[in-house]
Amino acid sequence: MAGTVIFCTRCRAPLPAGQYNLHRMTPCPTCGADLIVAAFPALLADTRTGRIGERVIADDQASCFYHTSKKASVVCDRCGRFLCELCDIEVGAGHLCPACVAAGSAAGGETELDVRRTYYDRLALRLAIYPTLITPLFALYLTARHGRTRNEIVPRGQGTWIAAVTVAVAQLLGWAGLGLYLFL
Amino acid sequence: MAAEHGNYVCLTQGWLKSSRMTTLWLGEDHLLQETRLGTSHLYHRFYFRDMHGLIVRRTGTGAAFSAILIVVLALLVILMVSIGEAIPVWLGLICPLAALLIWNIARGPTCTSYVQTAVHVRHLPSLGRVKMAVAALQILRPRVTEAQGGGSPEDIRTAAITAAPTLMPSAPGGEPPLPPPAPAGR
Repeated sequence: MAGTVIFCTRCRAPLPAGQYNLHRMTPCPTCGADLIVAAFPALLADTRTGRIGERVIADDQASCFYHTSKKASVVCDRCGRFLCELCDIEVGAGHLCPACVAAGSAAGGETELDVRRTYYDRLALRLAIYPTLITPLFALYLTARHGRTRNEIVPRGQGTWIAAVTVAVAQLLGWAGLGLYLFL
Repeated sequence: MAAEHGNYVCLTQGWLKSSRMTTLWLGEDHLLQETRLGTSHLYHRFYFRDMHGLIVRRTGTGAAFSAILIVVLALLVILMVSIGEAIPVWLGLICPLAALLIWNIARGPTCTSYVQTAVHVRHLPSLGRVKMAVAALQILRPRVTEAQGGGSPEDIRTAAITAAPTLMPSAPGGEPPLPPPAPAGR
């Protein structure tokens, strides 16, 4: 057994198993908070323990790239290096070595390792709204530079880009009109 | 890799659902929580195979907000009737608040939702309404169960009850369970 139970999120007391998967609100026996508790099969499954990799016992066995005394059990999906169980990092349905995980995470190339993205459409909109002569120009530059780049992880529309361009152009026209009014 | 660009479905979209700074997306083998921080977005993934449970706790925030709105609306209506002048101005104050009240009631009771894994309990701020959390759970449950190798909810409950004496309570995140409350009157 996994040696774990589900806990009340208010009082952190362990909840009785009879409260799991009832599909309705039930009170916590300790604090009385109304809870819906959904338990999944992994709660009762054996916890995956750390692996250290088997030793190479025959000359014809392939060894790990990083640990030559350990038997290779899988190949890195990106660089093709042989990996022992210790070095194998499961990412989604694939296997990566520590070096590729570090490289992918740093470069932002591996979608599943991405934890942060900067979206320039929001930055462009903020610049477009800011009431100066120069910021709408930056907003238009950002639109030209990044407007066609599709780097989003989840689906995103073009609405923010359109709003940024519209506001930037409107503001520039406003500045031009003000200039004409004042100096001509 | 399993979930690539375009393979996500939003779990918390729509004007009645979430207006918070976080959004939940359903991937092929994981749940993606997107948090907006200015022009950057932070992503946190919860893989179906790692989820032990989802806990939804009802809170009184929505009811308290409605109560405050009702009191303010009642005061405004009393003032409007007693003063009896500038009715459009009063209505201009009352109507948006009434719309806010209706919107809050239509969204249903508030809650806080957490996902529990073997090593942590993580808050899901975007599941802030019971209706939405229940709907998300209905979508999630079959996927998580499939990813973890089956078992109906009732089977899991029965197995958990059977296994209960052998289970060692150990709170994910390292914090031990709180001691029982002290007797009253001390």
